[in-house]
Amino acid sequence: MTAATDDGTGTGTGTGALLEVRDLSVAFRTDRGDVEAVSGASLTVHPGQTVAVVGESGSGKSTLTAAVNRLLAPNGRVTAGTVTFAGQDLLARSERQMNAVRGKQIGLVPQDPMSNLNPLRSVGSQIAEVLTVHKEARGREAKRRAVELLERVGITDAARRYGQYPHEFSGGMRQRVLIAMGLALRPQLLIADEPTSALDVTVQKRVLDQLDELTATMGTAVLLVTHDLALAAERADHVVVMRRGQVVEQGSVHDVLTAPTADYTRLLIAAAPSLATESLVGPAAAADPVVEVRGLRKEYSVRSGTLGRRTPFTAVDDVSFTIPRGTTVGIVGESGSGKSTVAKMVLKLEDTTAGDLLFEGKPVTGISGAELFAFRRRVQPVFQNPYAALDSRYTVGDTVREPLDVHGVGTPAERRARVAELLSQVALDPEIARRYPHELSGGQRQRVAIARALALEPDVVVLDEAVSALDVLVQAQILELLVSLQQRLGLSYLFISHDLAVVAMICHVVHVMKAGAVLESGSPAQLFAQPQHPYTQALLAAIPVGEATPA
Amino acid sequence: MTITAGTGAPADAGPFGGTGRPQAPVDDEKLPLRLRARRFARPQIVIGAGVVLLWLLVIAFAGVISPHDPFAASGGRLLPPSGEHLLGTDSLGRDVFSRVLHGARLSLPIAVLAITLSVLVGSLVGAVAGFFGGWVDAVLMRAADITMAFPSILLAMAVAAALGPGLSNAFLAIVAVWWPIYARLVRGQILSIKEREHVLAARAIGMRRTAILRRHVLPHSLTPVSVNATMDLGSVIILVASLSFLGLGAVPPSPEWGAMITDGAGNFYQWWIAAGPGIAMVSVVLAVNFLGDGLRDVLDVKNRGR
Amino acid sequence: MLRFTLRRLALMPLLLWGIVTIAFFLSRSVSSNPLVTIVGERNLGNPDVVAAATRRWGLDKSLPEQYWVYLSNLLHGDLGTSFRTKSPVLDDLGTRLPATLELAFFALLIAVVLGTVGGVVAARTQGRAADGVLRVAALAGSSLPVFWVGLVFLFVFYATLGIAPSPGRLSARVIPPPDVTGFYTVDSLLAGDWPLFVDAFKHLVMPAFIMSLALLGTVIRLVRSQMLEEQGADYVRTARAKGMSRGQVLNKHVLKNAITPVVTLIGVSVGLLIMGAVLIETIFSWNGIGTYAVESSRGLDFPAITGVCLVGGVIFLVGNLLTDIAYATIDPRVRLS
Repeated sequence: MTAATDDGTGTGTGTGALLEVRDLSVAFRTDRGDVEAVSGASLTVHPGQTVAVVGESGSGKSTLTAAVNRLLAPNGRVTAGTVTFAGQDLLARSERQMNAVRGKQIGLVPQDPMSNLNPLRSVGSQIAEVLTVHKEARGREAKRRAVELLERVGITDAARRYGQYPHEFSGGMRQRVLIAMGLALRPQLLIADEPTSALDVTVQKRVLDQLDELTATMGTAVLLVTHDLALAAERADHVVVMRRGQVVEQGSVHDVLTAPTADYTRLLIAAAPSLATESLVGPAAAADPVVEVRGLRKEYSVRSGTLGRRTPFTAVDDVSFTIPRGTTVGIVGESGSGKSTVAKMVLKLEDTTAGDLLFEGKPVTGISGAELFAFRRRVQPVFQNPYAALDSRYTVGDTVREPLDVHGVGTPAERRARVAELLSQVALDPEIARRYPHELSGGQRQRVAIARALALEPDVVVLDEAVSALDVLVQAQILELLVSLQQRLGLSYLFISHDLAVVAMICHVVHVMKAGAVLESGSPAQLFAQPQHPYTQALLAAIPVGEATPA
Repeated sequence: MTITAGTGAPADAGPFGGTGRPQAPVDDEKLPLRLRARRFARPQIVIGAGVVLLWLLVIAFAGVISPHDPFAASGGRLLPPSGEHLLGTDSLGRDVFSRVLHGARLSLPIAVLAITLSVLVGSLVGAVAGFFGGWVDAVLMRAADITMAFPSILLAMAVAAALGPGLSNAFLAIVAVWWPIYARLVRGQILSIKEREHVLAARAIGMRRTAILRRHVLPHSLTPVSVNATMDLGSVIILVASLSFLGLGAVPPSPEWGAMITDGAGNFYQWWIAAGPGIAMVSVVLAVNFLGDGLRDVLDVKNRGR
Repeated sequence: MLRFTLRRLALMPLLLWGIVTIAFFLSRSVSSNPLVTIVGERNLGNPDVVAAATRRWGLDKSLPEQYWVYLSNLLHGDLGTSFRTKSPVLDDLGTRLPATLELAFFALLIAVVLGTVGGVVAARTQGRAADGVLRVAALAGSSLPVFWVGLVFLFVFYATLGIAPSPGRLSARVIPPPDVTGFYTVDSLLAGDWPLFVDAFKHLVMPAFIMSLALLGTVIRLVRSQMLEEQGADYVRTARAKGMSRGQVLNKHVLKNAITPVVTLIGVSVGLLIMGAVLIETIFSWNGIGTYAVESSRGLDFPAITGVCLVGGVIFLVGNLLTDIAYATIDPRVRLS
């Protein structure tokens, strides 16, 4: 990656810039009228440079890159501005001319590898297609080159895998296939739209390393779209920060991170977990365990093989830990690690195959009926998806009040008052009780979910990826809220996440899980300073650390 | 207060967690009420609803607007259409037009009742099967499978034959044939809703299973069921007429449309006898199908924007 | 895949048994006396004839006994003897089945071919006039009562305009081809008799088309909606980012993916086709299963009714199974799981 010296604010008119976007505006036609997704955005990409476009959802970053490629959704159109690529005005070109540009001069690596590959066609044929469409090769020659590309992106046994279908590949490998497709014709510019967001953290790192290596070798310029500022800092030369369709700030990574000019950028930097240096919580005070799990085990019987023999699949294998009162215990792991299953077992939403669960020292493993009902008041969940967590047919007030109704707490008037109190506790206007979930933002919904969890005054709240689906600024707010609630109400948390950086911010103790087992445990400081297990080390290495630690 | 400020692109909650992209479950998107009313003003819905309304009026006022008594002869036999008899007379000298109007009182309410009962029975079975699972599910679904494996017309014929002629028996035959469709539909819905997070949250509070079913699961399957029912209504109207056509439903002198068409088949060259009820039936079924199609377009999020 | 097929095959006898049982008990729960059909109205007064007939036809046995007899005969391939025709039900069905199958086959062909073309055109011209017309036509197709349309067509094209031939599989006094498959079209071709083939074909066109109407509408709508859905799929955008034009993407990616669900539709359509057969055959004087079903039902011919239900059920289940296999062949995700 060549280091560019100018600040990227578009002063170079045609001076060797590969891509120049000037005052671009894009609008969409919707039910509610025209909506402007991008307003007067400008950026520049030089040959061989990597420019990252960073923003939260709704910032317009993906729309901007789609406009460059002229692949906007049918209801979108460019309302103003120019896009100049290699000296030519892309917006003026005909569809046919654009077809010649796409794939050959501008490549695309899209986000979700499963939905971006045709499931009914072999992977190899889809790569070969790039070559045949641009008449670079045909038939066997195209196949040969496609196999070569597969090898180049790190897929072993490429010749055999050429004929396989997308669902036979893992997520990371599918992403590599997409990279192969994007780079097949050695385009001058590669648009990478959140290329690894759908992948596990350790896989992300490998794939991005691979991408870096290829683009460096080929001298490809990269326009990288991401929501993760730290990732942008690690992988790009220049950063363009967008918010609500406008470019808020841009410059070299170093400049933007160490001396941001815009307030928004400062907020982003402060909120990004991997860039933050300090945890939000101090060291834990010693306390009795409120929850204890011993030797927890969960087995499913799964059909596999041609004759469908039932084999046992161990989702959780001999997991033991305690949750001291008033502290936050984190469980970190990638997909398939079993962390969510542990959460469900602690909540008693899933039965344990073996092992004990103790609450305040008393075993609760096999309880049922009235005892279970009483137990439910003490342990409550907050789940990941803010859209699915609230029943869309009921108002916020109904949802928060429901636990009180079910357990018959107080009179109806008292319950209404309690709902108002709970909403205030999560920093929401009590008036919001009359609204429906679809009128709320993701962050607000998650606050409502937290309010509902607190309704019965539980001792333990199990947070299963509770902030993973939120924008980074909102995420930071929710984390702060959780910490303050813990201090005020003496709550104990079981915090599940795939993101070690987030976990480090809020947890006192962290357990690292993989394939159903706990591999390592310790305080965040310990783990970060001296990780013992290779997997923990891999997880740490995968956290994009950014170029400089901010003040 | 919208979820994302300023984009018309699909709204996503935020950065995508390492394990997947959270989105609103498909049936849950709702727009403010004002906008919803406007969305219903599509041509299909307007036309469909209009025609249906027209026929409802006919059902209500058939006695008043019929020029002649549908059961008594009011002219010569097999007379072609004229000013006196808008659709001519049938083999017994009865006014075809009046009979068509009165026939609406038979064909349409029976079909609506049949569908309603099928939906209720089927939904109940499907809900129980889907929610409780296990052997209950297996037994109920096998019963549904067997019923569905029976070619519907044959089963309807068999039931109708066993029960004897008569419109009420045809109605029961149809319910016997139709309930598995809704059992499967509701069961599928429940299976998918059961795992959603708001259901998990309800379980975590300690709600009883039946309460969860009632409050949190069934209401969400209301939309696909009602869309399906509207679309099925047309098929059932035709099925009722078909059974009567075969001699298994309505009995003479009933002015039920299917039976009238049988009469018309017997008097082939007097085309007006079959034409009247046929066109009436087509208009109703077409209207109902338009309505259902339009409703589906509006209520099915996936189809939005087409 | 193998396991899947085996499981389905294992389930079939259970479902068939269920069908047979239901049909059996339904047909015998009728209040009217089947002896009317067997011996004729006149002989009902004659006690000796009645007694002899009752014994001969096994009607003196209790119902569970009759059921048991029926089942054991069934396992030997004997479907009983028809009360009306006095010949074995199996033979009756055997002679009539090809007629219905021929009709159903052509109806299916028309529906799938025309329907797919219609759906593709509708999707490509989405929002414009052609799309609107096709959508309405599709809806109309599903809204028409088959038997009434049959009458209308006959009246217009045969009685009034004289274009269509008279009802029936062949023109009057024409001898059918030597029986190989039972399909007059195929058999006449096999016999090298071209004029006969044309005659048989001409008689097929109208009833087959009418039978295809309901299915035609569904196919058009399904193909259209599938194509529109696929067009919005992520991989379409990726394909365009490779430099493919809209047309190329349509042909190489969208089409195949959109057609696949039509295959599943074929399994479901068997039910529709049987219904069409029952209604259409009587109007068009087609000597197939449909006519047999109607006549048996009217005459309270228990063995025949049960036999027809059984055959109908078998056809339905086999159709479903073939569809599932076809689907697994096309979609690698199903095949390889």
